[in-house]
Formats: sequence, structure tokens, C-alpha cells
Amino acid sequence: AIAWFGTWEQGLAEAKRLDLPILLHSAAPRCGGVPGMW
Amino acid sequence: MVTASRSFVCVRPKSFEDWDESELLLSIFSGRTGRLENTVFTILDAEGEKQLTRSGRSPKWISEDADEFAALLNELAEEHVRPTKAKARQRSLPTIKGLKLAMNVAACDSMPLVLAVGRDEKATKKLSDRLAPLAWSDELIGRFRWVSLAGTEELSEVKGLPAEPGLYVVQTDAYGITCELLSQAKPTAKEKALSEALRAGLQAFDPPRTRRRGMHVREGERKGYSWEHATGHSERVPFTGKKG
Repeated sequence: AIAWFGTWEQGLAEAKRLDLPILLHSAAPRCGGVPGMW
Repeated sequence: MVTASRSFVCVRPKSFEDWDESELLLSIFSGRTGRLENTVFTILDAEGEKQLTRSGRSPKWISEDADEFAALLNELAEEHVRPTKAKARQRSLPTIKGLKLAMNVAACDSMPLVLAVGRDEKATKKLSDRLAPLAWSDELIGRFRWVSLAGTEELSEVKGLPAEPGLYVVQTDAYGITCELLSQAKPTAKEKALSEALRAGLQAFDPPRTRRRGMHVREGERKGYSWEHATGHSERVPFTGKKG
């Protein structure tokens, strides 16, 4: 699957270091208030 | 499309888990409601300042289907990626912040979770740096979720995890609450031993059957599980970016 950086801070630092564009897609790790499903 | 995504740094902040991130996401997209949505999507330049596509809640807002989106990614990569420069540098380990959140995310993605646990910050960085080339190798890229921990304090909060530094590959339960240890290596292990532990963990991982949302929620509620976001916000408690 896609290898995601988990935080904006880490992802931005990586993008600047490698001079690569950023694909950003936030998501909430819960479904109906319960963890384990997007 | 996954292949096309490799030319980008893919970032998946967890909605409502960090105030500063929530403000950033809100500045990228707030829709008509003026509050942070559950999901936000866009593509930005390497400085994180200029949007290369319009923003929305998902890629569906800018592309009809996966093929069209992959073509767009390839087009943007041609315009914005200087291949020799980027390829020459090793990518970093793509981690999730904190064990509890990482276990939840691994459960959401139905993937094995790798814990890189060092005695302190320095040891953790060394271990993470040795793992990074493996995480981005053709064989293992996109096969795990990763978390690095400086110190063993968080390990004691999860039953079944050794309370000492090391590399641990685990499979969480469906809710990311408990986990089973699949394989491990010493914190000072070299690339060969780390690679063997990762492969063994991947082989031992038993992909859970796909669950229906209703069943997942009902069973989770019955077990008393709930997820409270770190900022205290959600769709029901809107984040509008104003403190106080």
C-alpha cells in the first residue's frame, strides 16, 4: 500500500529534504466512535 | 496508482489528533461549514506552501477514477520531481506518532505494525535509520505500519509486549487495543537480522477478514471500546480553529 508519513511535521521535513511534492490525505482512525476502522 | 504515489511524500495526518495539524488541515479545506472535516485531501509542492491541485475531502474531488488520478500524479511528478536529486537520498522511516495511535492505525489498515524501540532518542534514531532502507525496499515497501519509541514506557501499557528495547513486529486485534508478537530482533541487530525479522513477521501475519462497519461498531461498543481524539474534537464536537 502507500507508505504514509504519520505527521505533517515529519512529512514536510522529508519533502523538503528530498525536494519531492506532498500528497496529503488526512483521516480519522475511528468509525462510529470505535477504533480500528477508518 | 500506488506506484505513481512513490514519486511523492505521502502524508496522512490523523484528523483531530493534533491542534496545529488540525489548524493546517482547516486552512487547506473547510468546505461550507467552516469546520474541519473528517478527511482532507490535496497535493502540495515540496515546501508545503503551494497547492498543486485544488483541495477537497478525497481524490474523488479532482479525478473521476483511479486511472485518471494515477495519470494526474504522473503528470505532476514530471513537472515537480527532479529524479536524480531525489533518488540519490535515502528516505526516512515513515512512522506514526505514539504506540496507541499506531496500533489503531495498523488495525484500520489491517497491516502488521513494526515497533522500533530504542533505549533513548539516539539509539532509536540509529535503529530507525537501519530500518529505513528496508522499509523502502521493493520487497517490503508499503507492507507495514511503523512506530518508533524512545524508551520502553509505552510498551508496558500493552499486554504481550516485551518491556525492553528491540524490534517487534506485531499483529493487533481488530480494534488496535491488544496485539500478538509475531517476530522480533535485538535493538542492535544489523540489516540481515532486521530483514529476517520483518520477513518472518510478514509471513506470520494473518490478514483479518473484511468486516462490515455496522458489525465492527456494534462489537466494539459491546466491548466498551471508544476512541477519543487527542484534541477532543470530532464531527460532533466541531474543530473551527479557535481556541477557548
